[in-house]
Amino acid sequence: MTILEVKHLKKVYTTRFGGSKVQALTDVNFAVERGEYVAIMGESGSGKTTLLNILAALDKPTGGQVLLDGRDIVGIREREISSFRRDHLGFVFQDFNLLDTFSIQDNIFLPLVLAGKRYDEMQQRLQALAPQLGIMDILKKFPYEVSGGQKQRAAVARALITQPDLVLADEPTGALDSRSSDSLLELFQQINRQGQTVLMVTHSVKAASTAQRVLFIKDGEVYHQLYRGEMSSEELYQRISEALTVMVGAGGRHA
Amino acid sequence: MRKGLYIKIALQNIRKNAKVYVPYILTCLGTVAMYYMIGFLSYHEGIDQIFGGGYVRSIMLMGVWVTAIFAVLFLFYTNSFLMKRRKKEFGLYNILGMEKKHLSRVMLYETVVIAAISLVGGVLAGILLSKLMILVLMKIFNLNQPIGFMVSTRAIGSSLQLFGVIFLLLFLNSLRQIHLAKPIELLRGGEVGEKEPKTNWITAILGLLCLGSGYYISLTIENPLMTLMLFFVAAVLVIMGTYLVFISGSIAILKLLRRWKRFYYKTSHFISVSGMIYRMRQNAAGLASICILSTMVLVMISSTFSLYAGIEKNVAQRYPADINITLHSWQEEDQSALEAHMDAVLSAQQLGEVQMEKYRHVGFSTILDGNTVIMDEETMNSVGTLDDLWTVDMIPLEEHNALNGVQETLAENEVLLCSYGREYPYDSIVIDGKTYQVQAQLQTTKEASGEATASAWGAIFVIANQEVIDQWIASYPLLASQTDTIFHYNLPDASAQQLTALEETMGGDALLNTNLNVSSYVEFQESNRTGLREMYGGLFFLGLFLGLLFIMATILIIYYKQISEGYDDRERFEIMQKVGLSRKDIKHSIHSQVLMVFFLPLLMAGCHLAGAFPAIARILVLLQAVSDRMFFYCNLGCFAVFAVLYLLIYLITAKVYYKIVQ
Ligand SMILES: Nc1ncnc2c1ncn2[C@@H]1O[C@H](COP(=O)(O)OP(=O)(O)OP(=O)(O)O)[C@@H](O)[C@H]1O
Ligand SMILES: [Mg+2]
Repeated sequence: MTILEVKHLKKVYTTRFGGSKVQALTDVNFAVERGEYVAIMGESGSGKTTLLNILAALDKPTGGQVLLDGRDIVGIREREISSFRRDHLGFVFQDFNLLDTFSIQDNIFLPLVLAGKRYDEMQQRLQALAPQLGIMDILKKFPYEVSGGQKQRAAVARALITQPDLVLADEPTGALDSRSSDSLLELFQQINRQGQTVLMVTHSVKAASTAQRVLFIKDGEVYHQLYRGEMSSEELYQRISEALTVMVGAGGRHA
Repeated sequence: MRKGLYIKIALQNIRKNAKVYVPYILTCLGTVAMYYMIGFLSYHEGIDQIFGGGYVRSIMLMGVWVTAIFAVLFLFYTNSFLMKRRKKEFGLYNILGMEKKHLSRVMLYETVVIAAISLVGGVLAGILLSKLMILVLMKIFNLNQPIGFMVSTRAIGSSLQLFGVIFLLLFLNSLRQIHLAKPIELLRGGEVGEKEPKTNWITAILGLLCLGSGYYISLTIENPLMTLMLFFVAAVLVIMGTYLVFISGSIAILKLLRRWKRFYYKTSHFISVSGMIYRMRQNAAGLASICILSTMVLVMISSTFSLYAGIEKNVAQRYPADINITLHSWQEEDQSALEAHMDAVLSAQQLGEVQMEKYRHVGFSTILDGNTVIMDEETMNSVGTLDDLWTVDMIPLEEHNALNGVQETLAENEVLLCSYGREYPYDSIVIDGKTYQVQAQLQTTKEASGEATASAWGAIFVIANQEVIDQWIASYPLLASQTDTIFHYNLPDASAQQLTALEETMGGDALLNTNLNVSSYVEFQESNRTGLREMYGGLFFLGLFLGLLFIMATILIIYYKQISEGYDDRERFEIMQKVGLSRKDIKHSIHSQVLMVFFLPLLMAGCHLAGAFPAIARILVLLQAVSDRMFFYCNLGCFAVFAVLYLLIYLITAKVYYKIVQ
């Protein structure tokens, strides 16, 4: 079953004084099935963050459609966007985006509190989630007291605790050392095996090789995609590296 | 070459951090200017010529001290804010390979540049504005004469010295910070404040106790003589209490709220409680300072203004006529001798019409035990407390009738009574062992004026038949030596200058130079009015001046608070939006938090002002100034003006805040 469908997505940034225009996305088309784990790769400036922001309803596209569960999120009214985001989407960011005013636990609770959930229920959900993420010991601590890897796991917990249809991650391993990255990627695979749909933007071939499918974006379009199929991560890693070499070598409009 | 590099970096730093440096430099400059001006008013001899010598320069000297102490504290406070913001940058330079030695040199040049701008600009601004100060002071003194341009080299020297030392200390302090810190700490400098402090219940409770006892003292002091000292104690307690309550108390309460799960985990409470904890720990000291400064401004201006505005009433009460003479005798021949002497003096001066009235009275201070006037010293010492102290003034009925133009009659066991300064709650009075009915309590009477009303305690004026008073004097010999005749001379045609000249020819405000064999003394209304005006006008001016200084400080503290919060809030704003809080809700929540943090000090200052009211009102009574009601309206007016000003500061600085957040 298709959970996310992106059709002819286009985004043009206009600088404030109507001067130069930047075409970040030209014509992006792809679909994500429920339970899939998709990685998106591309050069710097190819429009990955732009795409993710549009999927997250943080930004409006210039043209095209984004269907989540068959519903066009572009058409959602301003008033409902926040609650929509809360109920259907989870986010993991490169720089964690934890609030320093809250303890780790309260950071994780934040979306549930906003949704008006009862404290018992929040506790229940957290107790179910925390052991798997390995954050039991740090729940009472504050973000400045824990390591980057722990922060990112807390951010994953915050994304998962609402039981979202889709988890969006923008370079989640970008600020982590290799050991923390590995354990985070392991975590993503694990939650994916439990049925969670994940869409991850990454620069790291290693990270991408843990996904089931890899989309390559170039010049604001989906340029190529790779399915894992029966491949092992090592094989997929090889294939991604090759694809990237070809893509960079091929050049493009800008080259 | 290398030297040039450091200077360049120093200048660049200042320019790059303009948002924090420009206000800082302006503050330094303003403080120097203020210090010069108050120093000028205190040190320049020309001031004596304009304002008649006396008190003005010594009152301003008080201001010099207060300003100097304030300047040290305040510049250190703002500098610490700057250093916090800058530490990150230092860390970066340090990591990029600049040694601490070089950093220190950059700091040195920065300090020198800032000091040079502040000192030169400040003194120049001070010199220019000091003329304005004199004009304001002249307005307060009701003077009107052309003045030239004056510069006090002593004030310039004093300003350069004081602020030179302050800047040197600031420089040494930043050196200390650079040298103590490790690079990684320098990098984190801006975030040091983010650690959540431990709740300290002891200090929180101590703070509440300090506040409570300060208020209690102010609200319950009865004894006017103790008021001044106790008020000082209360003020210190309240200042300490305010700091403790803002710093520990607020966080303790907020944390308590956070532990209350059912309350805390609600959308609106969740964000605002955690946000407030964060804000309070960043700004508690600043907020407490704003609160204290605001209270000081309000107390100073309202009380000094009350004193100033009360001068006329005060003078009319204490010196009811142009010339007031007290003659220590009831004898007819002494009275006529004095009148003859005065006639001779006044007619020689040709001052036009002369109005004269006189009355006899006998007065003393004693203890009232209920409605019993204690007449012997022994009992007085054994039963009395200062709170029961009264001035008892006795006037023969015939004198009262003549003076007030009335035709009262009294039975043998009756008196008329008028109280001043304090209620007399009984309808009878016991004097010399006999009970007298109070036939009527008079609202006012002409005898209720002059020296008898000049004490800090209350006075009763007892009007009785001559024979009754004679009996009292007979049975209480001390009274015999207290019999006075009061003469009021009014000269409606004489000008203020003529009256001053007359006083000089009569030998000043002193014993009357006659060949009478009893003593007497004379008091002139005009010279006393001038004296009070110098004193209270000077104090009022000082109140305004320091008020201005403190308001300047308040604005800067608020401005820095808004900037530092703005930078922090910007990030949080974005994250919350990503997690699913709508823009509108965030704006609403942040707005209400900012408002709350902003107006908390004002609210608290209002409380302090109200709490201080009874004590200050009593001190003002001590200074014979004004009625409670008048002082109340002064307070209210000052608070209203201040609140409007505060609101304006808010609106202006909030703009900076929202600009940063967006
Ligand atoms: N707010 C904006 N206004 C104008 N142009 C923008 C804006 N955000 C992004 N762009 C431009 O759009 C293009 C795509 O940017 P985007 O951030 O999506 O790239 P990215 O693929 O995420 O790059 P990276 O891998 O470096 O994060 C870039 O050319 C960028 O300069
Ligand atoms: Mg990006």
